[in-house]
Amino acid sequence: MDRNPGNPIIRILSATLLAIGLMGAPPVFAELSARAAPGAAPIERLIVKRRAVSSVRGAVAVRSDVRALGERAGVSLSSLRRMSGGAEVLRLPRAMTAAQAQTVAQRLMQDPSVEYAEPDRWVRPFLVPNDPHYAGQWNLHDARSEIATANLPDAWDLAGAAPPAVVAVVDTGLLSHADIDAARVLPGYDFVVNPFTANDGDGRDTDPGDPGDWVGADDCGAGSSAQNSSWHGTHVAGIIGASRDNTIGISGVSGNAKLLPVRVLGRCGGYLSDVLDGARWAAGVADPYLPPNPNPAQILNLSLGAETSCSPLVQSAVDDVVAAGAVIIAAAGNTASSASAIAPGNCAGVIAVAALDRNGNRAYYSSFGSTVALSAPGGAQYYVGDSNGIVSISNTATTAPSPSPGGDTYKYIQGTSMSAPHVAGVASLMLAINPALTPGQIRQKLLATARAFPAGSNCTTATCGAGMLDATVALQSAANALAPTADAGTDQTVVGDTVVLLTAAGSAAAAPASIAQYTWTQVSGPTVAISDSNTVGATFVAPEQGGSLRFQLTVADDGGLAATDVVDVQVAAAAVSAADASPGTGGGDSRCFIATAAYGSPDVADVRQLRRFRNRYLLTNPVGRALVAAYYRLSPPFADAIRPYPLLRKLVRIGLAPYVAAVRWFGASPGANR
Amino acid sequence: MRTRVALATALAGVAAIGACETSTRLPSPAGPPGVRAESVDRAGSMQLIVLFRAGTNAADPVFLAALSRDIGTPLAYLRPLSGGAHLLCASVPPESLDDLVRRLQDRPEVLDVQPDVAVRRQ
Repeated sequence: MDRNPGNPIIRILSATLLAIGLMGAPPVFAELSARAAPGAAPIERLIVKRRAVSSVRGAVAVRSDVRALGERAGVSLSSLRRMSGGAEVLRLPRAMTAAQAQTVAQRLMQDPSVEYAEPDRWVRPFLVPNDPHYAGQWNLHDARSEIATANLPDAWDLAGAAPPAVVAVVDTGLLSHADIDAARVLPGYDFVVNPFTANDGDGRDTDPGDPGDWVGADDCGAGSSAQNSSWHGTHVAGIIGASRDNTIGISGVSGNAKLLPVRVLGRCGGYLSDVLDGARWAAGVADPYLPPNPNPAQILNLSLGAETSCSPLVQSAVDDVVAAGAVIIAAAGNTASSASAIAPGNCAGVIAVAALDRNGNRAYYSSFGSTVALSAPGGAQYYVGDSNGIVSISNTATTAPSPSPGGDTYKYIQGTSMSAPHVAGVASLMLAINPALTPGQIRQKLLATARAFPAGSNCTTATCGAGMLDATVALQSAANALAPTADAGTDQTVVGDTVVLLTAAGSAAAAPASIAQYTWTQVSGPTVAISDSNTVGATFVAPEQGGSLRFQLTVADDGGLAATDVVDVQVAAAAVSAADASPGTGGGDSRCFIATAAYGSPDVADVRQLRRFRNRYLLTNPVGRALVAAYYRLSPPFADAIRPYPLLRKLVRIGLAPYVAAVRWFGASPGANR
Repeated sequence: MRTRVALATALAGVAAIGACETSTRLPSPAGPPGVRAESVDRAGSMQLIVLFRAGTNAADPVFLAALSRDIGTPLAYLRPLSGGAHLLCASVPPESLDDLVRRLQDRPEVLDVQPDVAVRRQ
């Protein structure tokens, strides 16, 4: 039974209308949503229009024609129903991939009786919130309809009802607003000390509300202009966490997130000292000079910046936040110049976000450069209220706030302050579906899943970071976070005093992560010195006396996940002649290929002397190791060539004599022991 | 003598605190970028975030008096900060800020100094 009452064309049109934000959801949409299949869903039907189809043709005749058509195309087809435009829907014999169905359709198209044939694809309705202003939130729409969008609809599908992580909004404070469920607002803190800046009659307190940051002329310094209250923190909080699907206002990126308001800015801005205290508190860093925070945030949004380098004091605060397990996201800056001059976005470990206009270009005001991690919608406005900005919640008042709901309103504004909270909201959703993600993994996945800048964009990875924030792909990656695999290679049996190679070449990271570090350590056995212990191939000289050694390989990916493996090396004691058995000398090693072949035995004194030189002087430095490695690659054929011919071996021995003499002299010289 | 120095420093500190904590108004966002004078208000008072070596009692008036004397600028203690740092206040002309920071950084008991610069919404 065909459960879809509408025809496909109507469904396509309807879904498109939904996508552009027209309101109202007829029952067909609910059914489609419930049955929505992923993009790679199997295809079971074709839409076919045949030429000269008679309107008076009976059903029997049609079925007969369909069977004949199928036989000519080599596939069994059955008629499901006729549809508008003179076409009909035919059922395939089985579910097929899109490519298979397309092949069948192409075969049918070769039939002279067929005007067109194409797979009857699933049409996915975008998960469209019922918030009235959603139509104007181009910054959240599906990437198939908006170039620079953060691509939220499918991400919301993926996140489902999982509770998102706590997001701290380190900003000017937060107003009550009907579009943010008060139950999701956690007890925050006001860190603004300076009374003029605070504008609330006191210093630090437990009220993170926004009393307004309006200023008169010259209040922020000689020549500064008067400004109305910005309600900046409220706008930023709305981008992150305005209630979604509540039939009012807008949708937040993470509409169920718990918000932790941390007030650090007020009139004319704020002091760096208050920001550092506020950030540490937000992440739950234990500190004797901070009040307790019972609800530490896993994500900090700092839509703020100061024109200063990332000094050790600022970096220390960032490090504390990350060590507490929180992701720190900051605005790249609105200077239209290098973002490296704006703290804290210029600190290591901070995800600095540049702003995109609606076309995927760097917004004209956005800071840029190597410290930018990625870009997100920040809007680019050319007049007040321009809908090419970012719409979010605000207040109607110009000085002190008007109480909610009477004072509630929505405003379009622009800035990297607006781009950062998009990333913060997506990070919150990522943690909702995978709470085990570390700050490093979140950063890695956000960057690895960013969409490429569109053709013709003025953004490059050198100016605007890894790409454009893509919530859907980021959530797909978050749901499939896999640790790397560590492969320390197969166990080995070697002879003492030989060079042993440990290889991690079989290790791999799970896409989109890549391997960031290899670490080889010795677990047991006679202690040896591992050379190149942080590379894929480490080496050591097997102990002359033999023994059982175990080594552990740790492979860490750039997302913070790690895996380990061990390898055992059995070392047989080297064969030591009486002449060479003095302490500290090398033993036998058949891999001194040419000399062994020339002298006929690895235990000849001259051969042992050459090996000692190799072990003591060449294998202790990178250049020497490279020479030895090259020798091992090149010398075996030469050794094989001379081995059967006594005359050649003798000539080679003569040729080696000066080298052996030099090596003996070098080994005997006083400086050689250093 | 030691008492007089401490008293004088304390008085200078009180004056500086008054400037830093009661009348400071952050400068205009329209100021030229990169100019550190943004952390200096019209009265010339500024705040410094200072990280001292472990064991230093930054709030001790005697210590602060000695430090002020050595660097040639009166410093006032404002409060401790998270991360083990301390907030100090000084009254200096804007053009002398970098020099003051350098003199403080040269002190053996000082690990790092960061002007408490203005942070703005973006």
